[in-house]
Amino acid sequence: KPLFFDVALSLADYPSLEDKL
Amino acid sequence: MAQQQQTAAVTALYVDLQRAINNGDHEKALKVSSKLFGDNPADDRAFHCKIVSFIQLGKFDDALLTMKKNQELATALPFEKAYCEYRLNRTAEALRTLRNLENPDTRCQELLAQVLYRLEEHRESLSVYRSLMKNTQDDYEEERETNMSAVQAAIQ
Ligand SMILES: [K+]
Repeated sequence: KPLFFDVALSLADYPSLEDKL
Repeated sequence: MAQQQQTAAVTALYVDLQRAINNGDHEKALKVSSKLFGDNPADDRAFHCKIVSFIQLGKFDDALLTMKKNQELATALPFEKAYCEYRLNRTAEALRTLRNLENPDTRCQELLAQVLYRLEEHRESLSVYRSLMKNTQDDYEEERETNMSAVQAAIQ
């Protein structure tokens, strides 16, 4: 089976909290 | 919604949350975002952080359950919903979630390409990857190339 990366997981990031700090 | 004055206690919790995120401490991020969201069920940012914490901890069922209980807030997080479905092998549901979007952002397109690959819809997956390659510039170019090669190999 060829290599296949779960790029979507890397894109599942936290939102910016800048305006809350 | 009008911006309300944030209490010092809430600001302190957000500082804790940011620190946990910076440290990659997803357990702590889950704890703090749950506290913020529990205290204020209108806090969509805390809700978003709680869902991402679940995802980063591999707790996809918990993430989906929390979204199901808060459907109004969850409509803003289609990528997260579809990603949980994808990881729970509810691939057809993930496809439906992504297909329902009028203007899927690049994250949703990336996930759509992965979902299509898993469903062996290789030609459509390839076309999504081609469009992504044209329109994105981020840290995942190499991984995306590798995935596109896998899709191309499956077509040949
Ligand atoms: K994958």
